[in-house]
Amino acid sequence: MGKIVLYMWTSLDGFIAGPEDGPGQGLGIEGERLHDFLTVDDGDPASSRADDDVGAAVMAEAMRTGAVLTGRKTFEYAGRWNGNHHDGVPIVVLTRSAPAEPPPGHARYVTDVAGAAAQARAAAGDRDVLLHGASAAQALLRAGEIDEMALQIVPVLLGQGRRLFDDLPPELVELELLRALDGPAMVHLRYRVLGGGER
Amino acid sequence: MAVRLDMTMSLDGFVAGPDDGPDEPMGRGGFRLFDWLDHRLDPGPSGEVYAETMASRAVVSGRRTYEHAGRWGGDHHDGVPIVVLTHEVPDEPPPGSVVYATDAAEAASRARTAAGDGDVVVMGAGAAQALLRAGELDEMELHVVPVLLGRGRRLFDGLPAGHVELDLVRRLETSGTEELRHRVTHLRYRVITPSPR
Repeated sequence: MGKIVLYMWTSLDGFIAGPEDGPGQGLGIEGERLHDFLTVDDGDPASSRADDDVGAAVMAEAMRTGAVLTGRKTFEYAGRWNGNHHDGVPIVVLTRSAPAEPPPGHARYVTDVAGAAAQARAAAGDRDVLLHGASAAQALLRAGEIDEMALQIVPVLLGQGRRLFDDLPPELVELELLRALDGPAMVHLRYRVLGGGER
Repeated sequence: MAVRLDMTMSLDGFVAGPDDGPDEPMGRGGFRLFDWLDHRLDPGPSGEVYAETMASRAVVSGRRTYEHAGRWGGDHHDGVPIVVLTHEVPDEPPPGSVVYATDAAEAASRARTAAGDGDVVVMGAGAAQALLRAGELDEMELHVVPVLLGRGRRLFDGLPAGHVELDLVRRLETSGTEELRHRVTHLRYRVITPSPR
């Protein structure tokens, strides 16, 4: 059984998008800075290329996953990836209410967190699940469903915007650093989520 | 010499847990952040960065941090000048080597002068934010503890929008054989001047 791995690119002050993010401006004001290192063709995530070897290795890992688990906001802001994130793997979209129209391509809507996690794990088979998006990350963290977090810390302060870690319960979650890589563009930190600690 | 923020934070960016106050200065669960300091006097990365802090020649602190620390009895280390940034200067004279300042630029300037060729360390989220806004931070040494606190006092909060470019100048990692609670990632960034808007 594969792991659910959160992949996010964040500023040092913890923002994954600048202020006023929305459709057509998924990264908010100045948030594009977080993806400066990336070249993406026509918004197709499978075409994402990092400009340096370390970034490229991490991106390649993300693209070897066997399923994508994301939140509705990220899905919509990304133009629903035209139904295909990479290699036609299943895309599980966590949403409060499923839209009336059928999901595009390989996407499916799921309205409960545990169900979304279970479906994504099952769909990925032996491979890992790529978890992406702040809201989905928070929901999965609260449910204790994240196994690892691969955080790319971009050397910038955005000051304001959408935080990766927000609205979490006041509970201590212990982590274990599995890997740290220094790339020219950012530091890559991969943690295992160990769960609640003593308070 | 550099004016360098020196702070321990959780991976989710908190420097204290929820409900911090005089009776519980680190907030609920917040003392977990300081476990790495058990090895502050030992060889290794944590000892190295702690020694650097203690070699600084002046301290700038926010008022809250200063009060929560019992005003350090007027002496943070080696009697170096402590500039406390506060909105309101207390009536009683400051203890030991403490002076009060009400303006971030003034606090930084006094500390730089006092430190001479040495470094200035900055402590506390309030002071960090004020000095960042004033463009007075040269470096940031962040001790990132592998834990999520979920709630509490954030290091980076209430800052204006507009990005500040940084440059990672050093990353020190405790050994993977270290007991889990003593592990920490020490990240040192140089603050490059804010980008033009």
